[in-house]
Parts: sequence; C-alpha cells; structure tokens
Amino acid sequence: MTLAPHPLTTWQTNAISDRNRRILQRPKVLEISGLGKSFHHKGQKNKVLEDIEFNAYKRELICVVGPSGCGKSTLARMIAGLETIDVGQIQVEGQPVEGPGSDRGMVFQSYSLFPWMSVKENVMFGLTQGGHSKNTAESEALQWIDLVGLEKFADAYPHQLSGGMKQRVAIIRALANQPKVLLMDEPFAALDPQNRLKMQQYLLEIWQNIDITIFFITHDLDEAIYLADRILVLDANPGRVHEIVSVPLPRPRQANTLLDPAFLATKEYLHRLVHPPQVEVDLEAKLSMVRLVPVNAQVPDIF
Amino acid sequence: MALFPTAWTTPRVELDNRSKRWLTFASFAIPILLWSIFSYVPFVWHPQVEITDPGDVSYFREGTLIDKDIYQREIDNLIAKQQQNPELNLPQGNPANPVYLPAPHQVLTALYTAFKTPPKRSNEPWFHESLGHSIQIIAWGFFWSMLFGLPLGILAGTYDATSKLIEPFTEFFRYLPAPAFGALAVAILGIYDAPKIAIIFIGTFFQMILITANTTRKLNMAIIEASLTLGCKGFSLIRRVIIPGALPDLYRDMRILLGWAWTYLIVAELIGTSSGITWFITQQARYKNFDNVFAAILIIGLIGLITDLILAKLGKRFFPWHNAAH
Ligand SMILES: Nc1ncnc2c1ncn2[C@@H]1O[C@H](COP(=O)(O)OP(=O)(O)OP(=O)(O)O)[C@@H](O)[C@H]1O
Ligand SMILES: [Mg+2]
Repeated sequence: MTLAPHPLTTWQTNAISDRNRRILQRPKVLEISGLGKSFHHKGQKNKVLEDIEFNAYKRELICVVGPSGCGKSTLARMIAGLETIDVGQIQVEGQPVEGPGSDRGMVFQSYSLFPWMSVKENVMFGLTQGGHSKNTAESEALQWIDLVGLEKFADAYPHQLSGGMKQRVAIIRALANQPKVLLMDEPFAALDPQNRLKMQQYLLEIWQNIDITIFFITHDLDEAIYLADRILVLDANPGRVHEIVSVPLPRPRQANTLLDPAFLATKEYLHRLVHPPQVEVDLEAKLSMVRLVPVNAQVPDIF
Repeated sequence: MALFPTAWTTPRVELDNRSKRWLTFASFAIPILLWSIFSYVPFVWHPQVEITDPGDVSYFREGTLIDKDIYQREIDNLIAKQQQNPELNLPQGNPANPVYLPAPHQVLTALYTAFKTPPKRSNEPWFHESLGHSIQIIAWGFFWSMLFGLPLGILAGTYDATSKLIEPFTEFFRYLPAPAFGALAVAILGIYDAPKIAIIFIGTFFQMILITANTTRKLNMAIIEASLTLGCKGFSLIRRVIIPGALPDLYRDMRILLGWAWTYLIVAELIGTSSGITWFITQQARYKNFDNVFAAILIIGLIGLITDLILAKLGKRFFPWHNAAH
C-alpha cells in the first residue's frame, strides 16, 4: 500500500470515485492471472509479458498504454486466442481462452476487411458463420451499417472506402457478432486527427448503448484518457503491469473534455509513467563525429 | 532530344497508352519485318536458286531448288560446252530460300488452305479435327491436374502439417521430366489418348501443387486472423476465406500453367500413335509442305495468346476488387 496519496486522487470527485467503485462491483468479464509469454528467436528467449494480473468488468472500457514493444499487441492477441499462452490463464466470463472464438471480437489497425466481399457481406460474415440465416443476417447487418452512416456504401467493396469508413466497417463487423469483449489494437492510428476524434465519439456512442467490454490499445495518451474508464499502463522488457489508472473524468465525455484540468493532469501523470525522463544524449558531440554530412557553405547556419 | 521518351527508360513506370500500343505493335512487327526481309529482299541470304527454265541441264526441272554453287557450276559447264555446240540453252532461275523457310504470304495462304485441304487418305483427320483433338488432350490433362492439384495445393498452403506431408515428395517429383514417363504411360494406358493426357497431367500436376500452395500461403495472415476472431475455422475457413481470398492469384497461376500444358502437348502427341496437331506437323514436314508446318505452329501460338487474353479479361470481370485493393 502506498502511503503518499496518489497524485490523481485530488481530481477524483465523489461522483467519479463512486462510479469507479461501482464498476469494480460488476461481474468480471475478463480475468487475466499470472500471464506470461516469451518468444524464441535463434535460440534466444525474449520475455515479452510477465506475470500479468488484470480484471475487466462488465461494460467497462479499458485502454492499454505502454512503451513501444512492451507487448500490448501480444496481450490483445493472446486474449483473442491468436497467440498461445505460456503460463497463467485468461478467462472470459469464466471460460478459459483456448483459441480464437466469436466471444472475443478484434479490430486491427490494418482494418483486415475481406476485399472480395461488399460492406454488407463483410458485416454478415460473422452472423452467417454463427448460424444465422442469410435473411436475418442481412437485415441485422443493414441495421449496423445504418448505425454508422454507411447505408449508401452497403454494396461497395472495401477498396472503394476511405480509411475511416473501412475502420467503421471493421468495428461493426466485430460488433455484429455480439462478442463479450471487443479487442482493438490501435484501430485509429492510421487516421488523421479529425477523423480519429470522430471515430472515438462513434465508439463511445456505440459502447454506451450495447453490452460490451472494450479492451483498447493505443499509443495516444489523449485517446486513452478520452475513452477509458481505467487505463492499464504496461512496463517494457518484460511487459508487466505498471499501474492501473482510474480516469478522473465524468461520463459522458464531451469534446471539450480534452481541455479539462483533470484531463491535463492525468495526461501529465501518464506521460511520466510511459515515457520516463531519458538520459540526455549529447547529439552535438555525435554530430561532430559524422563528417559525412556536408554543411552547405552558402547557408552555414539555419538560424 | 532524347532518343526515346523518358518514360521508356525509367524503371517500372507505367507507359502512356500511345506508347503501349506502339510497342505492342512493334513487338509483332519487328519479327515479321525481319522475316519479310529474309524472304523478299533477293540479296539477303537466298542461298538457293529456283529454276524457272531448266535449259539444257538434264536434271534441272522447273520449280526445283538448287544450291547456288551447283547452279553456277552447271552454267559454267554449259558455257564451256557452248564452244562446240552453240545450240545449248542456259538454264534460268531466281534466287530463293530453302524450302524450310516459306515467305510470309505463303504461310498466310497456308493458314487458310490448311483448313480447306482434305487429308491425303480418307481415314486421316482434317486439320481442324487434328487441332480439336489437341485441344481436347490439353483440356483433359489440365482438368485432371486442377481437380487434384488445386485442393492438394490449397491444403498444403493452409496447414503446415499437410505442407510437410505433400510438398517434399512433390518437390522431388517435379524434377522428373514428364516425357520420361512416355514409354511407361503407353505400357499402362495403351496407345491412344490416355497416355497423352497422362503426360500433360504429369507435366502440370506437380508444379500446380507447389505453385498453388505458395500462392495460398501468400494470403494476408491478418485476413485469416480476422476471420478466426469472427468464429470461422476449419473447413469453413478454407471455403469462405482462404479460397476466395487466394482465388484471383490462383486464377493467374492457372493461366501460366495452361501455357506450360501446351509445351508438353507436342511430346504427349508423339507418344503411342502420333495424333493431333503434332501428327499434322510431322506429316506436312514429310511432304515438305513447310508453309503448312509454319501455319500450324502459328495457330498454336494464336490459340495460346487468344485464350490467355480472354482469360485475363474474364479475370478482371470476376475479380473487380483485385489489385484495386492494394
Ligand atoms: N511473432 C513474434 N515472434 C517473435 N517476437 C515477437 C513476435 N511478436 C512480437 N514479438 C516481440 O514481442 C515484443 C512485443 O511486441 P508487441 O507487438 O506486442 O509490442 P507492442 O507493445 O504492441 O508494440 P507497439 O506499441 O510498437 O505496437 C517485441 O519485442 C516483439 O519483437
Ligand atoms: Mg502493437
């Protein structure tokens, strides 16, 4: 137990901490215990994840941040069943994860839509796979497409869509399957800032209205704070849980939440966790060694 | 002023349509032009003389081809004899190419007459019947190849286990030249069409497994993973994701392999009783109708080219999402 109060507690108003406490009383959807994973490369063992303990509760929105290469994607892929588990266990609603399954949907950064299927067929894919008839799958798919405003593109092929539209299709394709957990691995990283904000709002809107727990990986601290109930901060080499931060912001989040002092304080705090102060590199000295770089005689200085 | 437009000399840059048309035209025009030069310009090559008037050389006949130096020797002989006997006539002739190099217009005529000329014996097939027979052999051989090669290749490309089970032996077998199995095929399958189909099959089947497996393996893993997380697995995964995903590339592979099938055709048709277009070619060569031989070879090329063009066009229609997707 830490003795000094957590630097973010000052921002946890009664209403917020009350809500956070209630979240932790909901049933657990995702239970990760003692999870470890190593990759072997040329006889060398690369420990990527070690002793991960984490629970996510019903209808919670979890964001995962951490330095590049700390194993965020690996963790999501293990939950999805796309990577084997070395040690420990992952349970989804009490069922141990043993492979990919339709109870855990996943949205990838690269969209991964089926290029030979129209938007509608993409969304129908999981439904028909799950045993729905073509007709029910189609009408359900059209409702989802309608929800994200793509009704004009129902019969278009993925290559005819913009990045943001593709990602909307990928999200509803996963959601139409009614998974218990939706895993998202940097889904908006390839979008421009404006589209990204719009997609985040879409996501929150959808999440508020359906029964889903979201496990969202991102590099973008703004995104993490804007979306999350709790943020899972990972360390690198090996990836361990550094801290689980409860976001001290009320719901629903507004667009101006990003200017809220509590938001900025959280960002400041996370920033120090994820990017610890670096040892200053003497760039000047190193540059002087690189005599390969010719300095233009006519413009000796850029200042 | 550059000799060529810069686009012609920049690596991997797409040409404008005019240049494309020009170069495509030139790619056919240049060989035809060379052929025409050899055929129609009298002082280019033309190592023989076609006799138009035998004169008083006993063994010259009108229309026969004589080597230039022999022709010259006979003329020298006659000129020497003319001293005693001024009645003697000198032979006349035009420079000509050997019989095995007919001129373009002769081959062009043969392209038409080959179809119109009845066979020498009533039990022999017409040209178009020979051609039809060849196409049938290819179609059957390729059909059996696809029937077994595609599923095995797709399985090998999907599962590491099947890959390890199938590919090592296939890798070995594909180095065995298909024609080497000719005698064996005849011994087992008789002398008619079956051994010929078998040669086409052997020539394409093993390559097809390996190429199909490789193409299937190239299917983007992210797409497979996405379908796994949507609850798709096992045979359903192959049917709904792997096959449709790899299909455009498999289709292109089949087009290339079909070209290979034609190269095995000639060997296949020499096995057992010679048949089809190969029978026609050897027969015509025996009669020294080299214009027909060339016509037959050209027809093979044309059939190959036209089928491939049609298949390419159809491919664009079948897979409108392909290539545009990247
Ligand atoms: N299939 C694999 N084989 C070997 N090593 C792997 C494999 N996948 C991931 N790794 C290693 O595991 C570590 C974590 O990778 P991972 O992709 O999970 O990181 P990440 O946190 O998602 O990084 P980023 O933020 O850059 O996406 C990296 O060091 C990577 O080299
Ligand atoms: Mg990652």
